[in-house]
Amino acid sequence: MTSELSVTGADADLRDKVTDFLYAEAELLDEREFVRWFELFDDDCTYWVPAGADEPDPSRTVSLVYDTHATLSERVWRFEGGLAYAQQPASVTSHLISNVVVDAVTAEAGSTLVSVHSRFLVSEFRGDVVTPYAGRYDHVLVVGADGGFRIRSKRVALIGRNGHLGNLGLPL
Amino acid sequence: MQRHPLPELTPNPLSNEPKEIHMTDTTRKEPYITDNWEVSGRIYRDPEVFEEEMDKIYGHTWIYVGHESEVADGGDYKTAHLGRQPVILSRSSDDGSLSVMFNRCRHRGSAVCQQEIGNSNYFRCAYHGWTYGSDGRLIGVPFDDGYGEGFDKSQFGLVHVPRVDSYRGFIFASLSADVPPLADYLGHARKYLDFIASIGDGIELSAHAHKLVFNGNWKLQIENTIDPYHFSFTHQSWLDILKERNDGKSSPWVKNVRTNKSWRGIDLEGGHGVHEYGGLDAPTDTHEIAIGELIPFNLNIFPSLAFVGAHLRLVVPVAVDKTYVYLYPIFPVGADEETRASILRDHEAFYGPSGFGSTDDIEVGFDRVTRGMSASASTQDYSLMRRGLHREVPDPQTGLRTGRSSDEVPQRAYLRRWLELMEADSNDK
Repeated sequence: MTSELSVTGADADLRDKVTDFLYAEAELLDEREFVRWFELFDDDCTYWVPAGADEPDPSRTVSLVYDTHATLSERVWRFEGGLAYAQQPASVTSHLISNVVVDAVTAEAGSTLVSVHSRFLVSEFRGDVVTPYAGRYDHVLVVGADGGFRIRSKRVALIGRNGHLGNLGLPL
Repeated sequence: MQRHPLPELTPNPLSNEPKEIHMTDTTRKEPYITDNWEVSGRIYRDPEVFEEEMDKIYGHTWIYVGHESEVADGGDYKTAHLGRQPVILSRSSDDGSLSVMFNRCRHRGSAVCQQEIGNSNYFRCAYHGWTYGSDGRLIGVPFDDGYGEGFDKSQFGLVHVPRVDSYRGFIFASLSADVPPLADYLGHARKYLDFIASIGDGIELSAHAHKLVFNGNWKLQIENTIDPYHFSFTHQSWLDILKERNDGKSSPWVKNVRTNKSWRGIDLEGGHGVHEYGGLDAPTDTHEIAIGELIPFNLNIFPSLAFVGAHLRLVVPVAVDKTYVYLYPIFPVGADEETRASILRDHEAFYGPSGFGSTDDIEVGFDRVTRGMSASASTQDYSLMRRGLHREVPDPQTGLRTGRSSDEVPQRAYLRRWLELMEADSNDK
């Protein structure tokens, strides 16, 4: 992250593209287009929702979700075709995303990776109750040959991740 | 205590047994549990029953507070609850002894410890600076001349709960001095705790916990913890996923639950219960449902501790219709990264606030049951906890009541003890 106030044209352009991508991802979640949302993820992806107060380490401390491509596909299948009682009735959500900051642009094995963090507020309506979930997203995006993005990793740090949580089956 | 008359229960046409009423309280209009295992809906929704439980159950039994790996070193502490009572479990930085003390300053009542877990040689109340050692002794009072000559600090330490003891690393405390020795209390459940304590070179709870809340009664979680009957239905989507993982071959779970006679529920007496998937020497993944592969049984320790898959489960009642549940993944001491990750990933897939299993349990087993049980005007205001009653048999070796996998033997085990305690006179437990 740069501490300077000026933003070059190239930086602003990248941030705009990344922001548009995050908006489009959020729109798919709010439309419950879970299969299309899943298709945004790269084959080597992780989808991680940490738990607890400490600096999380998914090999030492329990997470709310630590999905690979394979387990994320099961999560999505449950909501699309499976008998997921946790989503009967289905949640209605509204994602707001803000404070988008491009942290780094790096090269890895011929690909370009864009690391970006943002803030979110997801409001969920289910069973006559509206529940807000707020926190920080950290995305690592892979730039494809066509210039589009795929998600290499998505980390969802809820502000309430160390509190008592109820049925939070819904992808965030 | 005023009780409103409730409609009489209609005799069950399927039953030839006479309905006996457990009653020591002559003002009670209907029993909590009939001899034919109709369990009154009131015990899940009546705030008066809950208040009584906090005294007669949580005030008069051994309650699990933590594992020794969480307070391994001098000065280590953990905050916990005995029922609704906030306590500190602390290992003395002087002599290594364990204390369980009310988390309440002796001066004006402030909680002196705010953290869930940590290490400190003392607890200092932020309000007026009273300071207690890690064993609870009062060691500092600012401007203590304000209490006059002869103020005896030794009389104003943090108040210890009457009993603390541990069994194979599992630390329990009691709000009553009048409980049997812990080992006796655990009784037939000890051999299962021995199994868990003997995993690898011993176990540790270092992965932190999933912390769940649901708006329902704490007993719903106890009844759900050992319940192979529900798994085939509530968790059908999980069985579908396992089938997909296994190239279209169905998990043998449903068949085993119906026909495998070595899968059995056992009433361990004292309120404890277990479901074995083929005995203690069975492979630890013998259930074949990928919920964690350390423990080949589900175990309930009365009233609020349980073990399933690869985790320790602690139920904390908050109100008649609000419950906290803590799920601590268990690591063998010194487990390598691959082993730890495997335990965590299996656990997270099924359990916790975003797990496939826990979330379906919250919706179906807790939320919907709570909603249904609010139909208190029903002439049949009870849960039927009778499944398998007719086919209970004594274990040939131990004589303990056993039943088939899907039978409600473990539920009856805990409810039997629950009823005994609830029907005891307040000063006769």
